[in-house]
Amino acid sequence: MINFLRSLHRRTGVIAGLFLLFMAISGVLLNHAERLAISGSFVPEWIAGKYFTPELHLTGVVLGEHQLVEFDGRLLLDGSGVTFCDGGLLSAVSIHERIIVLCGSDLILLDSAGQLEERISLGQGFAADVDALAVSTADTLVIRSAGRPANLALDTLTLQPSSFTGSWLTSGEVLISQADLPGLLHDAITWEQFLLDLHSGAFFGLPGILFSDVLALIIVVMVLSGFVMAANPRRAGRCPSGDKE
Amino acid sequence: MTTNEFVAKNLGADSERGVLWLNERRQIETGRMLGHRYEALRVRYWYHGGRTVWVLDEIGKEMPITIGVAIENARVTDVVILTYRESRGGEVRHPFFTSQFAGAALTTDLLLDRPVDGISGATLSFHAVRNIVRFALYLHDETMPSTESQRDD
Repeated sequence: MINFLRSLHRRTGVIAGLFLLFMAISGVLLNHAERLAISGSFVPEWIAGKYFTPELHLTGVVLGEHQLVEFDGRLLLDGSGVTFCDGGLLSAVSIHERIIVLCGSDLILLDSAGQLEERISLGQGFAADVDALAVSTADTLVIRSAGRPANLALDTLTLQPSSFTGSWLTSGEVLISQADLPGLLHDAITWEQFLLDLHSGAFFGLPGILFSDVLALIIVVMVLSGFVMAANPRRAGRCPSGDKE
Repeated sequence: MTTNEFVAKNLGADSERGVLWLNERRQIETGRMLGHRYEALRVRYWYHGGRTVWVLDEIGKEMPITIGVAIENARVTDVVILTYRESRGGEVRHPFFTSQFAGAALTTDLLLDRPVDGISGATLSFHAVRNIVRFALYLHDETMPSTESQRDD
């Protein structure tokens, strides 16, 4: 029995040793993720691409030639990240060479080049429960606040009652391939996230998690067989003092 | 606290609104304080007499923190975290931290004229709030010396 344990201990030791080495190194790195700046730096796109399916169902709005989508809490314009989109992409309109986007309760103003001009937090006391945008026939911005239309003057942030009865531009599901979103993966996955997923095996999906489980069981076997051999040193082929028999 | 409430608390009901465009010179100096260009091209602010109120966003670790800063005579009078979105580091919302900025001014090196104690476990949020306070003081200096002439550039 002891000889079998010794043999099992030796054979599994190499595999488990490598696994433990990786777990130890990745664990130390994760413990110091902020100090080592791996929580704020991103993996290359070829690694990040493994996290997503080739085609993605995203929430978006198409405005003429421009396509706005929300991905992982960020607003993407034609595939390039613009700014964060907290609360989901709800609506967007194009007016006076600007693109105006409603993300959660934030109104995001983009200039004609797609540069963020300003973010206005409507939920910070300007307008309540805004869920859609539209452009009136007079070319003014109309918001739907608590179910009612109101004209919003962006310069003064003042609301005027509106009799708008047209259609609202709300977001819908957009099917997009990774190839059409070149900026999608650029800063999607941090090294911290990647290391954590390697550490747990989750990066390889269910097989990776099961593989980690098996290796963890091997370590348990190693520990138990080591205890048994330590408790029976002579039968294990060693004297308590370490002298050879 | 909402933006409107923060503005009313610090400026009363008679405040006026201004917009400051972040031109290239301002963005370069912003980079010295934030470590990067400010995300937006312009910043909206409120003013009354010699006081200004700024509501600015800065990312702590992954998500932006919305911070309100009130300034009078180039010194901070009030700092409030209006929206905190990060999962960790929320201790910066508490008055024991934000009250440290009261009376702080900006040196010629664009640093605060006094030390501010950080919070263990909230390092990135602390940096974000401290840097935004420096940024707000800088923006105040850009508007207050000659508010009328600089507001439109």
